[in-house]
Amino acid sequence: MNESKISVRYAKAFFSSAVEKKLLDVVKKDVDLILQLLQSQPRLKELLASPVVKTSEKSAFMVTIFKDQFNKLTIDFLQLLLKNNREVYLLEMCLNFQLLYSKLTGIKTAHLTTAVELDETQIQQFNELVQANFGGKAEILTKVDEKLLGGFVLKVEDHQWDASVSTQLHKMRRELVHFIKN
Amino acid sequence: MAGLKPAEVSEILKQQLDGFKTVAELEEVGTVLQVSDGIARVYGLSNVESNEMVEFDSGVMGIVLNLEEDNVGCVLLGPTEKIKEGDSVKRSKKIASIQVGEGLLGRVINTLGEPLDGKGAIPGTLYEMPFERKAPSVIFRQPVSEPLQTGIKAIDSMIPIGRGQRELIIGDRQTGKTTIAIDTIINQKEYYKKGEPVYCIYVAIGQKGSTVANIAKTLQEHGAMDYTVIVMSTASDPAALQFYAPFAGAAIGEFFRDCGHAALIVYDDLSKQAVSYREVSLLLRRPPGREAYPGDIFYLHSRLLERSAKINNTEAVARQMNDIPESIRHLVKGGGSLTALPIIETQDGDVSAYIPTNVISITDGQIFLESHLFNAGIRPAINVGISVSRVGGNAQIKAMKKVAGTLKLSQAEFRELEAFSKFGSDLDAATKSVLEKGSRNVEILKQGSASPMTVGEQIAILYCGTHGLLMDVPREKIKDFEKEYLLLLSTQHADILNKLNMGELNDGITQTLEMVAKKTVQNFVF
Repeated sequence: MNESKISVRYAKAFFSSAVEKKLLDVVKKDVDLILQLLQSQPRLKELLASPVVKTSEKSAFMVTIFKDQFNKLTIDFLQLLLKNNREVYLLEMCLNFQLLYSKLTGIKTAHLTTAVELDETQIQQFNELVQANFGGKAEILTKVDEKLLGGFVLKVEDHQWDASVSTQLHKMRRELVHFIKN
Repeated sequence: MAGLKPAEVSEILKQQLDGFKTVAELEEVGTVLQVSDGIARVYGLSNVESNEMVEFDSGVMGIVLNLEEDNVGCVLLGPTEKIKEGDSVKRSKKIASIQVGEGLLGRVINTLGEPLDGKGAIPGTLYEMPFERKAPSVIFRQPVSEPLQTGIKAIDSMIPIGRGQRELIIGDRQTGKTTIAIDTIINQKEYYKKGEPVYCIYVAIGQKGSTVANIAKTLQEHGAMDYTVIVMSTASDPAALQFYAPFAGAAIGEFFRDCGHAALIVYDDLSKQAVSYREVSLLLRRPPGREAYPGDIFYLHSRLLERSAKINNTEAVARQMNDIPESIRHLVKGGGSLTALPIIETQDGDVSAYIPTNVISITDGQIFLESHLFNAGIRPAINVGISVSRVGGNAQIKAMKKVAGTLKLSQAEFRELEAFSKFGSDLDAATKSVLEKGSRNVEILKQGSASPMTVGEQIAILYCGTHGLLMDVPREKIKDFEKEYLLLLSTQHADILNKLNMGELNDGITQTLEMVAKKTVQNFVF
């Protein structure tokens, strides 16, 4: 079965419902939060995917923790997923939602990873860089990862600009090893 | 590393650093959603092409096979453990391919073209050849016309193989399938020495590493590695590497074919390849069909075997050939050929299983090996009755055709009568003579492994068999007779053997053959 059909359809329905109810910006924030949670909390994903936990339990759990933070539409969407036993695809649905959002609004989400914290002006420069290269407005999400050593990694949708020192070193090492081996 | 001087290291470092691009390039990336045995689902990579290579964070490569609405399915060409959910995946913008060149000869490589024999990098110029390439279309081909000598009497006489043909070797385990293929490779040494090499490619799919090591050793001992490439993916390699191995081999074969050389490729064996393809397909959630094989398993084998061909002799035509990779366009010559010897292992002689029937219908004939013949001491254990070569007859040399033309039919008749005579009733003289002659021919057709014979020798001994010159020699002495007879011919009548090698056969030659045979027979009559 083509699994991607499921996530694409649910995301589309959720998105158009949010647009109709003029809740897009609120829902977008919810989706971002869900995505962040799913990516940072592997246990949450495990819980959703677990066939041992009953749907009713999953549902009660979701309502309890997200009731105060999420919009009603988002909660309803989660309930629908649980009812149809499609909660496993939540991550893909959120990704597709973001894609639809950026298509409609023209706002690109850029993930910027740097070795040190950046100040406002620097982020503004990146903002301009993204606008110049990809068009449209940009929303920059920053992340600090000391492993990069220096430079930055900028990811916008399917494209990535890897100008980090660690990657350069890695590439250099690989080429040298390859050269010596041969 | 031992032989490397410090200066060399610095020099290399400098060279590399000078050429190193420090500018970050804009790359297309995706994220791993899910990894399972040998496959990964990747989100993003919306512009990726089917069959494109992708690179994971850990350096493991993958090939894109499934393109879905919001994700792509890739097969992994390295260890699954190194890949984690959330890893980024880069496009390489390169269709899956292998680096091919004459430097591959004598080497053992894996599906990706990396050497496995510890002899260092592949030397010489290498050209990029794609794994998947369309077979030459009709106008660039020509009918099979030259023989591909296997050096095995039973095959060259009754089931002749022509250059550009696909001849299936099929049989149960332990019936000598691989031996036939290896003997055929060894027999090409004659042509290599003559300066008209038939380059050989042996593709080992899902076999034990030790088996392949043994084969490499056998080939080395017989001096056959000089013109042979071994492509190997052992049973412990990822399934993707196993099912791509024949395609890598075919790409190497096509390089020789398109450069105007003759090439021979052995796929050992395609049943294991089908099994690894089934594994990958099921993991990619493609719908299963008969015996759980995916729907395109026939196409997998047909497109692979269709790439074996005899290319048109006219260079101008050959240069126009479809889908020539840019890298070798300037090298293309006409008249090359790629002969394929695919091997299929059956279970308990069952040829009507899915994969055997598929491959039988694709190929231009089959050599059928049976375990009961093998156990009865008839080696090679070829069942002559159901083995055929649909196009090889055109390629057989004239002398052989004259001598062995009726051999196949008479052996079939012999088998029938033999089964009948087991009832033990009185037999008339005619039947008896058929039985006597048939059983002597069976002895003549026996041949040890790794002992190929030239066509001349084959014709000389088969002439004695088909003309009933050995009726007085006891059956168990036939092998001794053969040795002595061929020795006598090669020492005293070398010119006759040479003429037979050229395909000449006239009354003078047959008279000499009969004379020598009669002389030798005297030593064996009681």
